[in-house]
Amino acid sequence: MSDEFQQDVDDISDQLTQVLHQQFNFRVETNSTDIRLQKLAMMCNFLLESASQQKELFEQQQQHHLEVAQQRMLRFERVLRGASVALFELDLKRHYIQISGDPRITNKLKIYNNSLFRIDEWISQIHPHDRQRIRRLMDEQLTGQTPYLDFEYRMQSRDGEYRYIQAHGIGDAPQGTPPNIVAGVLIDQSQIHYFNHPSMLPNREYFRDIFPEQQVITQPIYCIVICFSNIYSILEQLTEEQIDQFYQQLNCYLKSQQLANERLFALGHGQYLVMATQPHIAELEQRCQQLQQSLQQCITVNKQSIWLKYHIAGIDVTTQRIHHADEVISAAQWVLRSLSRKNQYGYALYNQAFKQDIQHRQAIEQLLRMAIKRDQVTLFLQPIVSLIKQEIMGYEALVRIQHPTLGIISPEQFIPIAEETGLIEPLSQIIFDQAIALFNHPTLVALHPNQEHAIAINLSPTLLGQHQLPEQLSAQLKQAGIAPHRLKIEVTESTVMENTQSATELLKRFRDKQMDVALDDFGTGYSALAYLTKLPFSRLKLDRQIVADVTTSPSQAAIVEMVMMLAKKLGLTTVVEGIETTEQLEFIRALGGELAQGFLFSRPCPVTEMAKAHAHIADLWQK
Amino acid sequence: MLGYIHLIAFNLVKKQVPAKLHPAILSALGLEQFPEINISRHYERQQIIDLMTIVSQKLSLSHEEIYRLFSDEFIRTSKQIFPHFFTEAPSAKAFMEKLETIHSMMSASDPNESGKVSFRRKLLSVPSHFPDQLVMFYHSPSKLCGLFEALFHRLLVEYQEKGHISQRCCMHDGHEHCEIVMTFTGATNE
Repeated sequence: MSDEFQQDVDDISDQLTQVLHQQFNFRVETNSTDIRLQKLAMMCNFLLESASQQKELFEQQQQHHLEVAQQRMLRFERVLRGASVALFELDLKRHYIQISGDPRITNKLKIYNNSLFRIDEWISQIHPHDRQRIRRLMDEQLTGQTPYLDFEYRMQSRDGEYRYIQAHGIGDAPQGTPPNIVAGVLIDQSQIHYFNHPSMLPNREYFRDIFPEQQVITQPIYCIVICFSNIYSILEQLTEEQIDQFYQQLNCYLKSQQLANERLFALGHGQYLVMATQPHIAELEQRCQQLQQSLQQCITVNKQSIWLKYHIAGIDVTTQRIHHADEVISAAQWVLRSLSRKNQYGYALYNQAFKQDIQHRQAIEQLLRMAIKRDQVTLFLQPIVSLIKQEIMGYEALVRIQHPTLGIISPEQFIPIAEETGLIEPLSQIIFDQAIALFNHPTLVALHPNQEHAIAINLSPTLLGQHQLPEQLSAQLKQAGIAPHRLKIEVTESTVMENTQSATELLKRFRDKQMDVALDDFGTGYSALAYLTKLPFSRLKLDRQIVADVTTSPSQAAIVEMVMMLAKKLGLTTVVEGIETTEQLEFIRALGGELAQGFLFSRPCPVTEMAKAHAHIADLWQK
Repeated sequence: MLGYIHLIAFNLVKKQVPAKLHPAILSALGLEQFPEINISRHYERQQIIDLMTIVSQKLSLSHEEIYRLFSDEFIRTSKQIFPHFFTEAPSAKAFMEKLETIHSMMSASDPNESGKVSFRRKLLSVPSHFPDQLVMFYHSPSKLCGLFEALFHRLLVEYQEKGHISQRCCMHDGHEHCEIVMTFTGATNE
């Protein structure tokens, strides 16, 4: 090979080095007269042109793919924004999670778009109560138990608020095979889970979640719970549109009263909670007073003025060492119930006495639940004596708990708790069952050979809504072979006064089923005589309070005389309660009283002691 | 124009035209002697057209005869320089199918023409419904479709095949391009 040839080959090679810089648009030239080198140069140029064309084609395709990808990405992002969701990609092998999506969502989730987290780091941002559950679900994924990963969790956002997130994902491997990646969407469900409808204020759940955070960050804290007790009776009278207007105005009004350091929550059931962070605790009572005064205004809906009845409970969370949101709500409920029980509007501040009361009530509630479960509920009987026949005509059945260590527990202690907790329903059923069974108790059967003794039971006001009760008791009596008129249903005056409509309806149904209905404790409260004519009573029971002084107080004696006369004219049988002395007995007899009961005859006692009571009463008449 | 075409054209003159006519032909082209042709370069198109015209005049040959001689020389030279053209093409049709690529390869060295779509359109194979048929579009200012036809026939001889060629349209008739239909009907009996 000649030097010249070699030099020409080398020259072509040198020219070709430009391809090292991705340059293909040049052409190789040769001055050689050797046609082989000319051919080589020609072939090189063909290759260069081909490479150049391929590169251009590749770049065009790349650009096209890029544009397609960008268009798809734009469409995808539009859909993501519209759907208000974020995406997650969970790498179970390398232990990281990537979250991307609409910045409005990712920002809320306290993450930057396309953030990459180690799984542990991500889980640390989740509400502590949700962490273990999510770890367990991930373990299930790792073992290939299910290809799906669906869960809900709470996560703190950038602003310290909690968001409620729903996640739906699927692994990249079929069931039974552990996936490498689980991908899916994150949906912000905070509006549904954390907001009260239709008030659109943060709800009870949100208060539960945010309360511990506030407690850690800022102290002290107080909470004020406002209960609008007549809200449901108001809403019943409004149209759907008016209800929206009502809530809109109520929310506006409550928000206008809100201080800068306060947050407002709608707990539901007509209750609102104001939580104040970093307040002067001394201001709690002052704040309650302010709210009380400011709430003395009406809301106007459809030109109609609506006045709200309210109770306010103030809770000094810090001083009372309350650590959980539920404790705050419980404390408020006890204060509110206390106010409601006492029929007292305005406010009260939660204190140790409420706390002790709570503990006492909780203890009673537990005791009551145990008693119901373990057949410790029993009925004591107090004889009702005919002053004309001078013998026992019937009995009032009075419930007791026979506790194995505490002994006999009186109903005053547990009936209010039973009514507040809903335990009154199972308790009442036990009372009904036992009372009906007592008709055929051997002791009473022996004492009343003609089988005409009556038994009276007290009906809780909370049962007034149980429309099926008359039919149910009627059926039970029929099954026991007892004439319905022998069962006397006693309702208190306050029960009737506070629930006139439902009481009237239910009592009429008792009468329809031939059961007698008695108005109990007459004279203790309203003493509204008009009701005696309107309601289907057959008996009137005079309360011991107005009987107590009949022998010493002429005015009291006059009242008793007047009531007994009125009852007689209305065709009602009078039962005088609280007869404790022979003087009282003689007074009532002198007025023509028909029936009486009281300690003079017998204290309430078990049915097994009724023979003794009968003997005692027989002695009494002989004296 | 392709240096390779120039090479073949001047080889044709050197080999097929009597030497005594060479000075006159070269002189008519404004040349004193045969030029050194570099096949990786490009040369003036007009020079070849003039060369063909002068040779046909000097030898009293028709254009078709000149094209036939040119085709002979093309086959001869190509077999020497690019034997793979033939070894890679087992038939005349296969060779013609490669012609577009061969043309592109030889044009690639021309910085004015290579890489341009317009150039590739000079010779373009288009699909045909018939397996024995090949349709090519030819578009060039040189209007050497006759040369193309001559090459077709020469290749049939080279591969001992039969076939026929026709033009659906021709630039010489005022069309924008020539549409050449080649039909290969198999081997000759010999």
